[in-house]
Amino acid sequence: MLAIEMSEGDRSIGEDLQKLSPESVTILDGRAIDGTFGTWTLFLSAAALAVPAIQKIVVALIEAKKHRRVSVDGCEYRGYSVDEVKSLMKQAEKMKDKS
Amino acid sequence: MTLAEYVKTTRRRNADTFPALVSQYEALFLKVHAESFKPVRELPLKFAVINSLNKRSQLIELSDGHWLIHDQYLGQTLNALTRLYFMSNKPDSAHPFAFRLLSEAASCRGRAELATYFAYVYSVTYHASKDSTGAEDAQKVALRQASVHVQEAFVLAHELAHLMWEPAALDPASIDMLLDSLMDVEGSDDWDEIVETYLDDLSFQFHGRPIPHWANINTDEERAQDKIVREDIKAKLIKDCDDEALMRAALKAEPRFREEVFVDWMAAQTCLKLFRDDMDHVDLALAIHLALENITTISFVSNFDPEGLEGESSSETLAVAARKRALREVLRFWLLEVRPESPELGHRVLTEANKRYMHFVRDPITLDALSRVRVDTMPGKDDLADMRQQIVRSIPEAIDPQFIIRERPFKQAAGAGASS
Repeated sequence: MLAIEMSEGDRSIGEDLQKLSPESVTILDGRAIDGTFGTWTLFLSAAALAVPAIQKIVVALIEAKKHRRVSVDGCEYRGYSVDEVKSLMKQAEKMKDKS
Repeated sequence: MTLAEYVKTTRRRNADTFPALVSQYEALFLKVHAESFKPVRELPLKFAVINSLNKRSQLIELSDGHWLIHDQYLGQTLNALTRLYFMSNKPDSAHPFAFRLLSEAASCRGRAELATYFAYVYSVTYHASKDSTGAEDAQKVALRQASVHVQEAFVLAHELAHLMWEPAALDPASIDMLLDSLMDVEGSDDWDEIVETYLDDLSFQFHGRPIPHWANINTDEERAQDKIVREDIKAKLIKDCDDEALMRAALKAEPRFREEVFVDWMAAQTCLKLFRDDMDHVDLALAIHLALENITTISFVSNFDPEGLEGESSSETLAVAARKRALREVLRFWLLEVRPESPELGHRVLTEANKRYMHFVRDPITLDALSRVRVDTMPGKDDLADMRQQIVRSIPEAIDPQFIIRERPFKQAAGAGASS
């Protein structure tokens, strides 16, 4: 599973992704007690990441730099390039969401 | 998405939770939930305890309902910072803690080499300064434990209070009134008195104990210099005052800030109700004050970017400082209510507590120690990788940087004068 925490922007991108794969895409509102919080976080399961249309939208989202951080398997990555995020997506896709 | 999937994706596991602690946290959660305001009390909530290096408690809504996740390691970290606050007798004692937090933040970002490097620096600086915090007697242990208990209750109550913000659709005018009462503190307009207090604060920071500024001025030359310094400080403070009024007005209009101040206020009310019969009132107010101080110290270091890779700035600093001042006002009002015979008590104890925290915890960690971690002096990627290899070759368990944090194996390096 891959989580993309968004710092701003339109939730409709996430909602479009949910329409493409309702079972595999989750949107959560989140905040931290220190007052620094992303307005929403997109969670994509391995199944969602295997869908080319979803991959394309996620890459566009990262290219637009509207995200704060990307998390995979308990590690959060900030300031990553688009290529590095693509590699994280591949890593998350291979994990098959074992928990 | 299940809770397990959420935690696995977003949290860096530290270790198993302690069953005894989980039971205690469940009991605390039930108490805080029962003491919360009605709309929150009536909402069915699920509670889970985790143990993660992220040190973050959080409220989330999954498809099976609302979950309040409490992080056991946040509690342990609050405990360590609180011990520093009560026991430290020199600012250097806090420096190792900054490196521990940096190591854990690097682990959370998947940076094993960096995490090992900071864990090594933590271990060395810990041994170099380990004698500078005093031993706790039974009374101090009890005070620390009670304080941490309240701090964790504040964390839970704060998260629960966020549930009040949206569904209640609170009247904006009443939030304005709350913000006005907490942020527009009537200050003195006696600038000479303000300058004297400012100079006394500087003297406290310099000496580490309350020596008034006038005691430092002994010669004619010092008196002449003092006159110039006072005029400069007065001009600067008047300008700062104008700037601060503008900043306060901007913050009051900012939705996230409004929510956080409201939620802090609610969490403080819950804790004050919950513990007022069990604790000394001043200790209780100071524990709530410490909660927000400790949480923001942890957050500041955890978000620090030692390699300058992320391009994020700490623009939240002003808002955090304003939140802390607002919470101190909540506590000052409460102390005035419960101890009306001592109207100055709240201001005095909270000001002293803030100074002590700044001197022995916050500044040593967020300013002094972090200023030693400059982008241009950090080892490069190859050096960090070599260092990790060497450490793991000699101590295989150190492949997990938390092993170094727990065991602190580099005592000899500290003795040899090695440092960051």
